[in-house]
Amino acid sequence: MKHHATNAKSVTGIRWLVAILFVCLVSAGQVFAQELTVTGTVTDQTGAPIPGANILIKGTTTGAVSDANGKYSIKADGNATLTISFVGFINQEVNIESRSIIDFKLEQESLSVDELVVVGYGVQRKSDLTGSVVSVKAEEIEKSKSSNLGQILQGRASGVSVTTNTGTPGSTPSIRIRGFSTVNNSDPVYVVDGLQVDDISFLNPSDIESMEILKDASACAIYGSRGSNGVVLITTKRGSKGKMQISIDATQGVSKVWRKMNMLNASQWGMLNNEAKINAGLSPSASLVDYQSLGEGTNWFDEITQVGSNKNINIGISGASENTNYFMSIGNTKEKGIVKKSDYQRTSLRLNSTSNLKKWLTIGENLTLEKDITHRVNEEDEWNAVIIEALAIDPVTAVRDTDGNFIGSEFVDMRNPVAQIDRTHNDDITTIIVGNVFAEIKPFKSLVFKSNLGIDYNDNNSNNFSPAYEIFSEPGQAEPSVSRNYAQSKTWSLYNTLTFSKEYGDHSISAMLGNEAMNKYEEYFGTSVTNLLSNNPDQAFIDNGNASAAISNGLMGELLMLSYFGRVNYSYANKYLVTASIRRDGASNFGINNRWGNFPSFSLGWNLHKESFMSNLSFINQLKLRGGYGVNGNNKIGNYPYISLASKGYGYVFGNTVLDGSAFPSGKNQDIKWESNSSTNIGFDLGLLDNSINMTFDYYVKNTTGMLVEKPTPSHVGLETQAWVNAGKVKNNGIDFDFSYKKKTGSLSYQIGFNLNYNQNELVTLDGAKTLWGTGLRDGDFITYAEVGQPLIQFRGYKTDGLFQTWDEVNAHVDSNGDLLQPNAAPGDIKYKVDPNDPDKLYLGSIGCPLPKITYGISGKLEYKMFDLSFQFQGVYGNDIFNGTMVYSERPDASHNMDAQMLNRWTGEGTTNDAHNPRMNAADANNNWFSDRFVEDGSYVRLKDFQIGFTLPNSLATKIKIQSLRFFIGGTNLLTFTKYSGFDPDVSYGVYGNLDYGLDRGRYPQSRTFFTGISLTF
Amino acid sequence: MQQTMKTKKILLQITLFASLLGIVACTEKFLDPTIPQVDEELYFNSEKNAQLALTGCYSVLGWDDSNFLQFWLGDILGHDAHKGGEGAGDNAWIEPLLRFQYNANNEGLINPYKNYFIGVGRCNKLIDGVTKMSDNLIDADMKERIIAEAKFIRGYFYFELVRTYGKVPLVTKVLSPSEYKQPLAEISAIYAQIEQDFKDAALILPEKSEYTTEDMGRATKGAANAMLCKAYIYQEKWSEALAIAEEIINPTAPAIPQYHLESDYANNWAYPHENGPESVFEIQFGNIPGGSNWGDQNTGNVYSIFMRSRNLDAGWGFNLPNQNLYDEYEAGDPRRDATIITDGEILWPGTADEVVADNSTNWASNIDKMCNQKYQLPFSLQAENMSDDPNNWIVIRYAEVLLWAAEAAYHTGGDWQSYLTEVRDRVGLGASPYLADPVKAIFHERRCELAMEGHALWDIIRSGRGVEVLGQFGYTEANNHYFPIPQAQVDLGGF
Repeated sequence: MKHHATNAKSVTGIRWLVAILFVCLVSAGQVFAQELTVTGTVTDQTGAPIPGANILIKGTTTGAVSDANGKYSIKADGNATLTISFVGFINQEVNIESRSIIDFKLEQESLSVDELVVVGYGVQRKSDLTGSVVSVKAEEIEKSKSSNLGQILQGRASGVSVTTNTGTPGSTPSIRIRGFSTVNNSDPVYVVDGLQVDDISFLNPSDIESMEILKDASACAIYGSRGSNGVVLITTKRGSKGKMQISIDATQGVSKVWRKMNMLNASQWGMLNNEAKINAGLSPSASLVDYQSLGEGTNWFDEITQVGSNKNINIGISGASENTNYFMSIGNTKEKGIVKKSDYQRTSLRLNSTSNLKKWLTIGENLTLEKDITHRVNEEDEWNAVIIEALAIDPVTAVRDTDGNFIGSEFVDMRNPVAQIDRTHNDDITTIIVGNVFAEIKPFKSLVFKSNLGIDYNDNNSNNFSPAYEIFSEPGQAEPSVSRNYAQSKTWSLYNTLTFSKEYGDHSISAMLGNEAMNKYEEYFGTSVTNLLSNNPDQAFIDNGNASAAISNGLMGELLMLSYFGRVNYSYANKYLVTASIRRDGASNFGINNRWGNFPSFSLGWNLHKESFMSNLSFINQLKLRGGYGVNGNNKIGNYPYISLASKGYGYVFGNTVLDGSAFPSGKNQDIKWESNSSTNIGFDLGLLDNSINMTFDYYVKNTTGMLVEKPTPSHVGLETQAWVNAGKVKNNGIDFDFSYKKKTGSLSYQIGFNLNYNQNELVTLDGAKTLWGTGLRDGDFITYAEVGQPLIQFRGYKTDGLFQTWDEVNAHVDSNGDLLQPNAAPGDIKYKVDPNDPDKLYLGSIGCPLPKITYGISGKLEYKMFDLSFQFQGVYGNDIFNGTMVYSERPDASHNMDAQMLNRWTGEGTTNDAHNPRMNAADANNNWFSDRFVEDGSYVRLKDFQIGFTLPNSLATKIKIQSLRFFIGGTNLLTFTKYSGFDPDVSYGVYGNLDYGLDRGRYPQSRTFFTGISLTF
Repeated sequence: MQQTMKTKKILLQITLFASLLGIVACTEKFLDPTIPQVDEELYFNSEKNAQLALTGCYSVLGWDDSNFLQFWLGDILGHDAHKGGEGAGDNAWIEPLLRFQYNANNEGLINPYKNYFIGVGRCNKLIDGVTKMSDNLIDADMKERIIAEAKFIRGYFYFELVRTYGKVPLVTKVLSPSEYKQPLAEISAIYAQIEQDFKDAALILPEKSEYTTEDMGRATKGAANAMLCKAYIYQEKWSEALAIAEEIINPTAPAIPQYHLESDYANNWAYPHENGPESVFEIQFGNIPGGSNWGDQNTGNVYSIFMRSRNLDAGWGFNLPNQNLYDEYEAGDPRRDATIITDGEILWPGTADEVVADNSTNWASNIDKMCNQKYQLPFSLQAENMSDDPNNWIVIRYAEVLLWAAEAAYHTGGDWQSYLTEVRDRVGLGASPYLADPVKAIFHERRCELAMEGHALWDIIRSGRGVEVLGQFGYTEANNHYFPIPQAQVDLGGF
């Protein structure tokens, strides 16, 4: 109850804020004398009427909108000036001069060439850019109804690869720009309205005006130290001149599992389990002997999944007076997941405004407040992951006994996932405040000083209650317990820039100098107790438990950075462009002698189409050659790698009580310094046929040197965790290609886009070491690893060579001494290949690579009169996936349930030679080794977004006094084409670090979503 | 007038500008972060901190991955026991070892090597740090004792390293990066260091009786001498071994015997008898409410859950005594019943924990249908968390000291039989049936007395009986006397 009261209070608070802002705006309005009514028609150059054009009296908020026939009517002072604007056309201004009829013929804007593009610490005309930058605009963002901004980027821009770690509601995808450049954190830098943040999940996609992705070092170098993995600049919406606009956007949808595994039913599993026992010389379980009568049994996956839902509502208010513009929004997203008891809710509030207080002074702010509530099920820890359990538990066991109590399996060592979900009580509540205030001072016309202060505050509470329970044939838990954890992260950053820009004839110069300081403070603490007084999740608090035996933890960390930077842009006659920048960064997470790094860049551009010799080629509207070189850095490692710190908690028992102990588990390296990434980029931009065709091509080479890596040292050194060192080189090279074609004929307009990245990756050296080990599954050895001379991440395992058909074949598989290479094998078991370099052992090495060769996207848009349609395909090609779910669901010892394809098992000589179908054997010690049996082609192409819309005709809209109204239906993940047999080919990171990639552990599957929605503006 | 306004405006702008710049007009000092933990360079500044770091050294003794070897290699690979567990695929790493196919990539051998050296590293850091502490920071006697305890622990880890892996690098100080490359030391050099550590420790450490109850479990003079004796035995330095064994049995100064045999053999593993009169050194565990369940910060015993029957209290059923071991016992030897749980045996009779042992139902890997009794706990004493059982792991019992004395006395031509008799008397057995073959008599006695305590493999190998006993499973002296150093370590160390 208390909780609800607080919510109500905050809503009231928001109302007050809105009201105050309204009053301010209204009072800014002015009253006019001597009014007359001006009417007219707005048309394009062909004379076709333009409905929906904005007609505004300059300097006021009074305006009108043209109707379906392009006609408008407005009351205005005879001396006033009218401004007329419409998207895609050049604005016009006309003095009324007491006329009562004024017609407008609008000229089409030449498409996309001279839009402004946000670059680091400034904006540039697109035609002046010399680096590799791609933009994603609000209208594209709106076409995807994903609630996560990262997901929206999937397939939108060349060289930007987005992968999904898990489908659980509220999860964050991983974004990689131009491949993996390091074995440590390869996340790009995100800059939201000038503020660097670690994660962009907090952003409400409907608040975004544009995203700019800086891909090459010459564009990123102004972010110096942190730019080596690319930079994503995000600009949130601001009000534009015109009358106040209120837009309401609401969608509602359902989500479903898009793919299910075809598992054995109860009688099939009973049959194979019996067969496995008999083949191992054991007697079948008594209750499975009569397997035919077991029937279908339990479909566990159906039992843990449900039809999910999502609801999304955003209300935005924007507008501007002469001196102030504002944008406010409130958004709420609710997602109910496709696995029971998982959901996510995000509520956000945004306030953006800019005011020109004086001719020389502009101030502004951007502020987001947000609260997220997430409920998750266990999907990460393979011992308890509900998806794995649902696949692996036998279908014979029922969910509940006849009394309605949950029961466990008497046949397999897996817990009842439905029972586990039922007793899952966790919640995760995050409160986020991100914002900045800025001031711009223009002492002279050509000089701007800007100061920007930003904060990023993130406060997380996560609570987990485990009730006491008893369940047949499972361990159970005697006492209820709870853990309550709190984590906080506070960042502030301040930057100042001084920008001078001036044109002298054909010479245009712009120079910027700046500095920046940043402080990031993180702290966590948590406590857990057991022996709670009650088994009621509402009473799961520390005071109700055995608080004197609580386990607690808590620590803080701090990262500080200080930077100086500068950039010069020079262009001659808009033809020859030069950009040079340098940044000097100091970071507190390096030793005192190595804190500072210098990150220069230099790039050139040549607008060929402006040369006179090109003037005959009128079909070429734009042709720009670009080339650049730059150096970036990376410091994304722990806060204190240069010292070794005492850590407590290493206790030992003396006299039956524990004494606390300490150790120095972290390795240190006093000489640790910046990882450096130098990259070269050459490319061109081409616009053809009135810019209806646009192409961008880039070739790049990125070399990472002095890579930050926890390089293994020999154990006798005694380091408990490895120290960070600068060792190793990684090379990425590849191409980015973007193509788009736009056309408008009459009331039909359409657009098709294609983007592609081809990337080659190699770990060139590790300065002495050969291998870095990644991670594996719960049982067995490592699977992922990095090896010098190979792409950065590899899968390791044995290579299969069919099945042994006869004893002769088993006995012939020997080493040079004549000893059996597979002493546990018998006919029907998998035969593994011999190491080509050592005939005395089986091959154990690379069996696949999870890094794609090609990442691509195809998008299309079509508008005809009131209808619109858009789609977005996205795909990858040339990567492998280690299908870890198969390790659980295709065990030939039949100790788990199995995929139905195991019915094709080997049952005698010649029945099959497919390594996926060895014989059943309850004592199997040969067939479930990590091998290429589990490696599959991960290529896929997917219809990520699809939407059809209907917009109310303007005439109708005007009648009901609204600006626009659009209805739409659509879906996400509607179609997927892949050979991959697991839940989803979009496999990304696990939870065990940066080399835990491409290993499908059967985490929360992605869903297919259908939605309907409405967008209303008035 | 207008000019003044303009000047004012510019002045205002400059002031604003300057003040904003001033916020970031930072010095290098800005980049000094708050450090939330104690830097090792500043750590050794109090007795309390030295004690904490010492406990950190002890804690490695109890780490799961290293001590698993005690029964995995000692009992299972010694072929006194079957592996057990869920089946051949469960802990599959031991399977090739059981056939004596040693491979440097075997995953089971990676962590022990690393953990023993982590233990050595912690001791080196502690010895280095405490040695440098000035007298005003720490009591001189305590300083000596802390260093002596650390030397005992270092000696313990080096002993495990040398008997498992043979030649390994010998590191007795904190290495700087330029010293990371170390050669493999000769086995004799490693033993020399081990002997020195135990001698140094024995000189300073208190006897077991001198410790208070709260300190029970710390290294003692007796434990250091016993470990020294063990090191001599493994090197076949018989006269030194006999001398030090006799010093433990009949101490000279102070002349107070510290140990004697439990009257009831089985009492050694009865939980209330922890650190009892026969115990020379035990790895201490406790069921501590809360605490970490698994991993390096766990203070509970995980062997119990490993060895508990798969049909009892969710046990995992590893390390199952085999028929060959069962048959080793003489008729009427009560140690067999104290060591082995047979199928259908009534456990903890007459108590609330009474239960009939089920060693066969649905349990294919239990080939001979027997379980290890020594580390079993009745349900009422088991921890709520399966990894937190409270019972200690016994490293050295007084009975073993007597058997070392017997072995050493035999090799030096002394009275070996009286030591053997003392051990046999306790369990009511008369003269050994193998007196005609003293070596057989001694190792028969060791096998029966110390069965399922992690000694079998090492006894076979060190006595040169590897091929004789284990040859049938593939043992060869050339390939199997020592385990291979993990391949990754060979690569990194350039060995």
